[in-house]
Amino acid sequence: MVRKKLRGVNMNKHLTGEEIEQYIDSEYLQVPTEIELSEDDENLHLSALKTEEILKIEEHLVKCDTCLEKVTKALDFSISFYQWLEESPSAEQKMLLRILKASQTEESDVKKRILNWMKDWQAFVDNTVDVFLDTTYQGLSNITKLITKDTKTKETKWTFKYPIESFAMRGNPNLNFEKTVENKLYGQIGGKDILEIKAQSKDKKITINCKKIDNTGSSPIFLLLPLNWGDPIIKLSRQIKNEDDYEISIEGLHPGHYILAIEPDHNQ
Amino acid sequence: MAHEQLLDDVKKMHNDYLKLSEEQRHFLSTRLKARIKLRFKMDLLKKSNDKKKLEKTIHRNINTTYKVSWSRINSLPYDKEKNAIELYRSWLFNISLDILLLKLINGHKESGMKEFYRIYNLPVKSYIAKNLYGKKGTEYFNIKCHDLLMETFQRFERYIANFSPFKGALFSYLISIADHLIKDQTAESETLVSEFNEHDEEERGRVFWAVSSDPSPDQLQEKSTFERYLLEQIINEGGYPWQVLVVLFIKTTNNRPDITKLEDLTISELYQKMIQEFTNCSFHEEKELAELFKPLETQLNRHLSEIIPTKDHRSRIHLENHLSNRLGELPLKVFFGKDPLKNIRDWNHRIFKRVRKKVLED
Repeated sequence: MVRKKLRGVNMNKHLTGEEIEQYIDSEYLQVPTEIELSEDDENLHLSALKTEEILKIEEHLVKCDTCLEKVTKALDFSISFYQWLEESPSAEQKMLLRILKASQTEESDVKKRILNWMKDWQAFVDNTVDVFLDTTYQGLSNITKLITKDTKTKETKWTFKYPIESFAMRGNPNLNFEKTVENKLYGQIGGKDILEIKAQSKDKKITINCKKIDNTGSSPIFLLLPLNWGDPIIKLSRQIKNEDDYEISIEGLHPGHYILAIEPDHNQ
Repeated sequence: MAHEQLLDDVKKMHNDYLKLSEEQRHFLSTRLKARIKLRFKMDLLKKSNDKKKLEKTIHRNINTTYKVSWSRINSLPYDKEKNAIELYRSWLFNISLDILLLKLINGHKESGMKEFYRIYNLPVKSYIAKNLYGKKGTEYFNIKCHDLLMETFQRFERYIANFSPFKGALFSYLISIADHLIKDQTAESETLVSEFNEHDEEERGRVFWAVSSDPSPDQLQEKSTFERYLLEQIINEGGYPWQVLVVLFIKTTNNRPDITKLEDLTISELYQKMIQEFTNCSFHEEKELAELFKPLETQLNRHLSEIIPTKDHRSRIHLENHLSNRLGELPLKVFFGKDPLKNIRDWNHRIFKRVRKKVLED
């Protein structure tokens, strides 16, 4: 098999593609020496460079930004090709990517706020509420429930209180079991009611009423992330009644587990 | 009198050595500058753009390199087949690179630790696998090796202050850490199943060492975009579909012999398996991956004779009995030669070369 030899590197000319490849293979990658390629691909073989040739290429690289850029690109690619998938994304990172993707269709201001919001993932998680819509939770079937995370680990100003934990139907066995659960959750900051979240099984709907916090910023963004399937829903709350109230409503939801995230006030 | 003469001779030798080293200044300076611009630009951006600062950094590094090399002169490699000066220059450059990496790691620069890991993770892993007691090739052994590798780098970072370049190379220090960990493992008594305690298990959980901190949303998006680009290039430019399929599959697993065990699977079955594996480790969702893999899926229904061009005589002869079959129906083993592992290595390299050519053309 004929292996290509590098022509003498001309310092005054830009590096060729072959020279760049040879340089990367010799200096940065441990390229196997005995590779069997099809006849069509034999031109892909390049010999390793000697120290003097590497030096000549580097002498050119430190002076020529065009070639430096080309080599950087090819080198980054070469290293990434071998390291690709060594670092698989975690479930949380995948979720983050889904949110970022969904935000692409939003207005630039919303997009910017979401990107900024996502920079502190822990803070993001701390401002979330689990929403179970007509689904199973801990062995219970067909429930609609709003659940907050463990408050001990939270780094957020939000506190939540439940109006009603559950509706249990007991008594006359001849009566049809009828469950009309309207789960509500109140979100507070410093003891002040700011949020009212309703998850309604009947209309497959989530309604959020929100008061403006400390007269600062604009209305918060709400993110509803389906954990099972579907794209994240991004909603910028709309002002109603007077200046202090906002309301959003998300309808036509499929049964399942969702995460509702509330944009922190300092992000607005 | 003899001692005085000896001391004078040593001083003279030292001066001569410094003169010889000084002759390598241009060589070291050029090589270090190129390395900084290519690999550490992010962390040394200001310096690499400011000529004076860059020169100063390089100057200091080279002066330290001379001193360090003198103290480690006994480790200078000797090979009568090779040019002594060539060996000397490479050895000097390795020392200067160690000093540069050390400076970056001590300064908590991400690019330094990343490059250090990139250079040494494979040699250290091989060393651990070679010296660790246990049945090689089992999943338990592989996990153990991986954990020790992570712990080696973790300890390295913790005890970096104890390292002195005057005593040895960074790699030797890493190996000495790995050695200690291997000895600890060997000395540990085996835990019987009956003594298993869930509490112990929790305390001695697997070791994770993050080379870098959690990526920012921008970095995540960048990784996702890169993955998309890479997939598109590999699928469209990589070559024969079975080769692309196998290469993508090995990217999802570190244990390359695994795929040779799947040689009886048909290409269609392997395709499904690859999609399944890929979904778990990809930055993309199943729906997006299905769209990206569409061209590959289409090939499964084509006859081999339509896929292999007539000018590729070698492949046509090798697969002449199967040319009339649909690709998806054929078992993977028909595409392997005498050494399947070598075939996989070759395919990986071929795809890498083809795609990189495309990247450079773009």
